[in-house]
Amino acid sequence: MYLNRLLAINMATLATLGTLLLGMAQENMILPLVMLLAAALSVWLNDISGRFRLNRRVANAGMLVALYFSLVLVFGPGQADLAIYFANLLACVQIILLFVQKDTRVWWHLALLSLVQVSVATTYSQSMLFGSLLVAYLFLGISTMALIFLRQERSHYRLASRTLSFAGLSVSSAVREKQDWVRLLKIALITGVSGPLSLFLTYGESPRKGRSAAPPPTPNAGSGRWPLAGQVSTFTSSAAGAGSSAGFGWELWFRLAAVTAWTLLLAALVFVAVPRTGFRLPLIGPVRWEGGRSGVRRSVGFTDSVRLGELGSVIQDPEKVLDIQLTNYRSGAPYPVDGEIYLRGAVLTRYEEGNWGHDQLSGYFVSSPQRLSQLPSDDGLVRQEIKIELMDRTEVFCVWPPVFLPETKLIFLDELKQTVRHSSRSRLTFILGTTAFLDGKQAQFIPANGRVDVDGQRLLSIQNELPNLVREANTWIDDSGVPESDPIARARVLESQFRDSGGFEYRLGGVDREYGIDPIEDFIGNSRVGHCEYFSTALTLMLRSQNIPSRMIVGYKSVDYDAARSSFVVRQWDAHTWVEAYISPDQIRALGELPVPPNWDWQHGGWLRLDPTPAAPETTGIAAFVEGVGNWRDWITSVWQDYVIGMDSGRQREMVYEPLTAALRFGAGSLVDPDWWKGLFRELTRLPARCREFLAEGRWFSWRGGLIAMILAALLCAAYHCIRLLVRLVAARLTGSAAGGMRRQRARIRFYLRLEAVLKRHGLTRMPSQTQREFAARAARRMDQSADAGPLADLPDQVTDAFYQVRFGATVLDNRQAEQVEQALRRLEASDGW
Amino acid sequence: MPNNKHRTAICHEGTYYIAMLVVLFVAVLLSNANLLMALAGMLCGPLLIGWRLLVISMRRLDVRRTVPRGVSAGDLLVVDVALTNGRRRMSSWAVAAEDQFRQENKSGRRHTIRPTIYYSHVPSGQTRHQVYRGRLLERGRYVFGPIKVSTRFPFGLFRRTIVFRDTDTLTVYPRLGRLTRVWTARHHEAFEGIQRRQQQYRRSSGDYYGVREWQSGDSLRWIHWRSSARQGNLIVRQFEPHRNRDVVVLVDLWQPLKPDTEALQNVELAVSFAATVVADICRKGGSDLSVGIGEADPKLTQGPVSAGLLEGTMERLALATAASDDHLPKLLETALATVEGTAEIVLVTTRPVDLTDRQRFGSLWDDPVRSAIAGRIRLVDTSRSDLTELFQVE
Repeated sequence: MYLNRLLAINMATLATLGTLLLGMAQENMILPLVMLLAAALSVWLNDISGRFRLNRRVANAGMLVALYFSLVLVFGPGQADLAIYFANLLACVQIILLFVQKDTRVWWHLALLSLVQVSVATTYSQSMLFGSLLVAYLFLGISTMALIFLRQERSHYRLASRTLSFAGLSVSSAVREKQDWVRLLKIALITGVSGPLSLFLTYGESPRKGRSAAPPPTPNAGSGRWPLAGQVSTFTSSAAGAGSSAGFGWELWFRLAAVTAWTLLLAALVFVAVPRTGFRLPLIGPVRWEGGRSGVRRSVGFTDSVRLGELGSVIQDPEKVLDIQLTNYRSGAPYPVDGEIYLRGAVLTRYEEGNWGHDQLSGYFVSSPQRLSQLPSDDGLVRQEIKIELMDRTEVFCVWPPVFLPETKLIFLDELKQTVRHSSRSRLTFILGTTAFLDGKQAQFIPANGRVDVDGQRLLSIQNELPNLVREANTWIDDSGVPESDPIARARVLESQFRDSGGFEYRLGGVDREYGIDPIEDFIGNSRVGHCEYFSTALTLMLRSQNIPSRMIVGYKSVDYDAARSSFVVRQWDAHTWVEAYISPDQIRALGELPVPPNWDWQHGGWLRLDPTPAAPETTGIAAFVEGVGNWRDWITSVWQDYVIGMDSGRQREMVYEPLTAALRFGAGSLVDPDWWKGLFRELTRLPARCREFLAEGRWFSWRGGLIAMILAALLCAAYHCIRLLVRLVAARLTGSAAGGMRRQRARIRFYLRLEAVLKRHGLTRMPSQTQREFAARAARRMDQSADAGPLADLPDQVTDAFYQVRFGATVLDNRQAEQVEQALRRLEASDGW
Repeated sequence: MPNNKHRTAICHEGTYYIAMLVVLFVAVLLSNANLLMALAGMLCGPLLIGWRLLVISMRRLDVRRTVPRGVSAGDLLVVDVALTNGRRRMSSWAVAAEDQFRQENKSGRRHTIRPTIYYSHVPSGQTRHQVYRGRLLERGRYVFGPIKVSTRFPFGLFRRTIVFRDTDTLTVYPRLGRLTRVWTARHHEAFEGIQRRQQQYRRSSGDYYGVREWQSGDSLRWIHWRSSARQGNLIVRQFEPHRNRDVVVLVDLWQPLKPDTEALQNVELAVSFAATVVADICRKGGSDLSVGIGEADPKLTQGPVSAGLLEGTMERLALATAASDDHLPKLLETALATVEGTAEIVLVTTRPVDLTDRQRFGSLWDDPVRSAIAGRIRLVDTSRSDLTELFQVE
């Protein structure tokens, strides 16, 4: 009983969750809600109370009707999606099966149907919530399988225990069903009509019954003078305790949870190891294999367009994009860099109503790839070796301006968008040069490498009226008193107002902008909070308002410099926008003396890099915690998108096969490399000293961290106990395992019921507050007072002892004890007159 | 348990599961759908992790069977099978123990009985007892074992079986019947005459065999004055109680070369009758008992009646087999050469026997002493329909 109810609840939850996953795939929650209702009703009306059950014919008819409607929908007007209709049909079949009398076969069918449903759903939905629910589904599926198995075993052996076994017949064969050829014929016929649905129909098979309990008759049975002639030795097997709830405690669930955890690990291994073939299954229909990200979330990672005014937080994605190693081109020695580097990805020139894009007109920037041969000298030339991870973009992010070296391969200059692109979709290493570094720093002001057409006013265009922005820019410039002839100083004034004045705040979280006005106007006029795109946009447009040609650059800004490798590691969260202001040759000449490295030529003017984005404020307390959680959530989302949904053959090769091969090669090489062994030995000998240093520094313990950990542990403990109590209460209510279950359990110990019946005949009824022992003592006292029943006064106690042994000792009475109990009851039943 | 054999086999459910998994993997490889791949990976768990859990859950299990030394044919036999989980941490679930037993001299599946016991849960470090019951109807020696302990936990995809090779033996004694009053009366008639004769030779109510301290109620005539003087206490003589008459039970289990049902029943009746008589004599006590069974080389089991003698005799009767050879003359010759002249001799046979046949029993009648004894042999022929006057068995 307990097991059946547990299984019913588990299966109902599994079916509901499976349908919920399907509903997520279809973006339709009606079917999950229907399934939830049906599952709850089936548990209550069918599995617990047995008040409502579909008979075989009604269930079969229901399934066929569901099939008919599915076919009508599939072949009817409108776009048919076979897989979804098929999955919906399976949900209907599940609902019907939930209301039939369940045997092992039906339980397995329900589990199988749910699995097929989820299999279909996995080809549609790709959100992370779906993935999380899939893990929950895994645990439910595993526990359901285990419960079905346990129920099957118990049923099997309980049936076996009621079947006589005799020579030549084992229990397994005793309960084995005989082949029913008529039934097989029925199945074949129905399969021809209803296809795979025939698996779930019932065909009038009788409940599983073993062979006759009596052994096969022998020719001599019952004849002759020898009473045992013709009989065979028979034995009854035992399955005592198979109906109890023993074994369903915490340990079973712990084991199943452990199986789930190991299964997840195994699934991860299978997931990354099984090669992707790149085929697409044409049968599934219009499936969104690549999936899409959530509408309100977008990555701070690189895009070649910018859209302001969107709600939602920006994801902090730590995924590595590239690393760039800088070396002196002439000497080949590492080139030490002081400070950050800016890697250009795309140039945005056209702003309209919160959107940045490219001007589609060519001839706007006139430039060509600068080649080593065109440089007067290689003095100061820095070689940049860029290792780009696998991405779905073709930009080669590099320090600008690039110089094409002889070893530069597979890349070209996109003149229209002023960016370098590559022509491969796999991870590659690109070699370029650059003349942007001066004294170990990336210069802020560099010469233009081609003519810049500012006559068309495109670098000065604002498109819309932005009165707040223009007014603010004018105010700042007027307040500064910088003359118009010094555009660099003016630009720096505006940059400084954003970055250093304290009037603006950097925030990755979304800001609710006022509807109907340009987001940048809202940024300047109302809410001076935003991320780098707002600051860059505002500065670019302010510069343009002051007649300084400018453009916005999208790329990466990295400070993650690894001195040992002389390289910068660039991650998605390093994505950044900044501003370049164009200074014409005339204006440059008016400025006077400028640094003139041999490869710099100011004849086309120069580009001044401006970064108006202020540093992010330091968060503390709960805000920091929330931000940390948010970062973790972003990271997980990013991992989900990149390594689960986005896993393909290329990424698999990059992530698994190549590192594995390299590790194996390295391992094999290290084993025979004496230097490696020496190094290892050296490190091991240093280890104790390092540990001592670490402990001596006292950084390994934090009082604040310890306190938080203790509080968290206490909260977790309390939550565990609350949840456990709640679960027990609900389980007791649903499965009848507590008081009600105990009453029912007691009822099954029939000999005690006989005792109660006998004593009731003599006016003795056990009170609800009385234990069985107390009741027996009361009966004994009463019997002692009677002359007739006095000698029998020990008998109730004797029967009660046996009851306790069976009920609470979980043991079985042996033959002698059973006989004693039987004799005691008979004597009590025969007694009268007290 | 060095000889215990472990085996893991895939079940039907496991085969279906693998087939389903293969189909899913083919779909995954064709579709390139990553979440479907994840799901397929998850489905590998119940197969591989389940197999591992199955193997672990069968470690350090031990099974012990407790079988009584003997039971009468047709009586209830209760066999206790205790399953011990010797692990320190992990319980075992859904463990089945299939015992098997057969008669010692019969082999093959057709003669083997396989009761099964199911243990739903055996916590770590604990033992669970279960019993199976039944009735063995054929006398003889039965060999129990080996026991196959198996489980399919946790998902029923695989079955792991451990064969415990421990064996036990059980002797199924002949079925005991009830001796009728006719038999008892005849026995007393024969006995009383002898007893009267024996009384003349005995000085008191039994044979003297020792001394002990005087107790209240002892007769003064029993006081051994010399020992009392030596000990300083009253010492009385002890006498054996009255002895019953010594009995010799001879069993002639003859059957034709191709026995029919009737002949087989006669044999069982003869064995059962002999066993009942022996049990009756042993219950009463006070006599010597000799039991001989017709064999090629017949031997007598004899001695004062005791539990040991009863058990030994029952064992012999349980294992006695009928033959078509005539071993009766040799059995009588062996018996009469050994027993005292005063003993009562009961010959239980499965066929009509004419003891006066001098040609067949020449050695018996040639010797006057033996011929005198032979004249007092009480013959019980189980093929006769009036056996029920003496003996009834249910």
